[in-house]
Amino acid sequence: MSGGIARGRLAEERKAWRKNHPHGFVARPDSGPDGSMNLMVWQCTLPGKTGTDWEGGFFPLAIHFSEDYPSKPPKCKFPAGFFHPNVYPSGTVCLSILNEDSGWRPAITVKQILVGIQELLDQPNPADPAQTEAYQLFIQDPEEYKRRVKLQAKNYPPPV
Amino acid sequence: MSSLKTSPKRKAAPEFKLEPLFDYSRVTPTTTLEDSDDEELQIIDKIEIKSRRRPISKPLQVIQSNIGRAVGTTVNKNVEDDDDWLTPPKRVTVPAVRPADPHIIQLRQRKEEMLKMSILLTVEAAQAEATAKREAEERRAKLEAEQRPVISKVVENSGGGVTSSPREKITLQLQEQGGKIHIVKIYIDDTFEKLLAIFSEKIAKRSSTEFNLRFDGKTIDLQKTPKELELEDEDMIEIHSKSTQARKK
Repeated sequence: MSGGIARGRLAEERKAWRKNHPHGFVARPDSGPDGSMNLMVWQCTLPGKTGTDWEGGFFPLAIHFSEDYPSKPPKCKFPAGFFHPNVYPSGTVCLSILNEDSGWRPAITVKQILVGIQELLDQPNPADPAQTEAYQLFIQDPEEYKRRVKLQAKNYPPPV
Repeated sequence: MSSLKTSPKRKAAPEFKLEPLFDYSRVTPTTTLEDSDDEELQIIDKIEIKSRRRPISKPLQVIQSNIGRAVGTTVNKNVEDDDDWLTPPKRVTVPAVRPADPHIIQLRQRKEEMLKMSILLTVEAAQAEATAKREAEERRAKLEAEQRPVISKVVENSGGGVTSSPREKITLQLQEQGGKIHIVKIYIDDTFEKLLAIFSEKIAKRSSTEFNLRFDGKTIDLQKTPKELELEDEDMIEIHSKSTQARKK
């Protein structure tokens, strides 16, 4: 039954997204090789915010919804090894609104998740590190950190 | 006879009161008149029903001739029965005192005229209705012809306006890079090339070659149509400027 609720909600989310979403963002349910749609996994793209070191990058993000969605938050994953203090080496994003025990509310929409992660890119939370490399550079070598961020943005060019 | 006529004044004599009731001069004319009137009334009824249902000029002539005949026969009867109108009881009821009523003939003529008038009026009304309908249709056709090219272009920021047309239309939202949204309505089987041309000409005032259209992160093939991409009403399409992309690279 809960799976029905999750799918129903996700269908609504998709409908709302098609009709309104922030410019440059992409969020669409995974489609298999046969063209069938898997509402439980979404392939998304979020653009680096203009005016930041992340500008120009279009970062791929997969959102995995569980059957308990929306009572439980989805899991958001960048590609493994993504350079950011609050992203685990596996690529999983560590963000309060995505944590069942802290900031998650069932009313949070896919749009809010994506915009929240875009904010996080340029405003990492040093109090809650998820990987050592980006975290240490962010704390100890801001110049190198900036260079790495810009390099990463170039590695994710806009889709053509 | 003079005493009979004045009888209503004398209330004391009841015998006199009864007689005038059976006096022919009072009773017969009224019955015959009613009969003849009824005939005509029936004719009129028929005519009116006919004229309402078929307001054409043809029935008008038929009716006129009918009436003419009816009047003519009554007049002839009067002449025949002039000599002995009391001897056979049968004839008394039918012909009666017709010559004494030029007034009624006059009335009948007037009625006839009225009838003609009414028929003419119904015919005219029908004609007027027909012409009005025709004019309205012509006007509508003209209006549609005038509006069509306008509608097929862009209806900017209108949103709700529904126009009936054989070709299905779709409302799309064009989102500019800055987040500005333009609501456009195009035919569902128009190419995106046309949509982009309208946008760049009317809104951006720049060449259409400077822009890309994107849906779900994919650049839209401008030769495709909203129908081919299975777009839905109010779907949001992003406009990406090629120049800013190049600069970023």
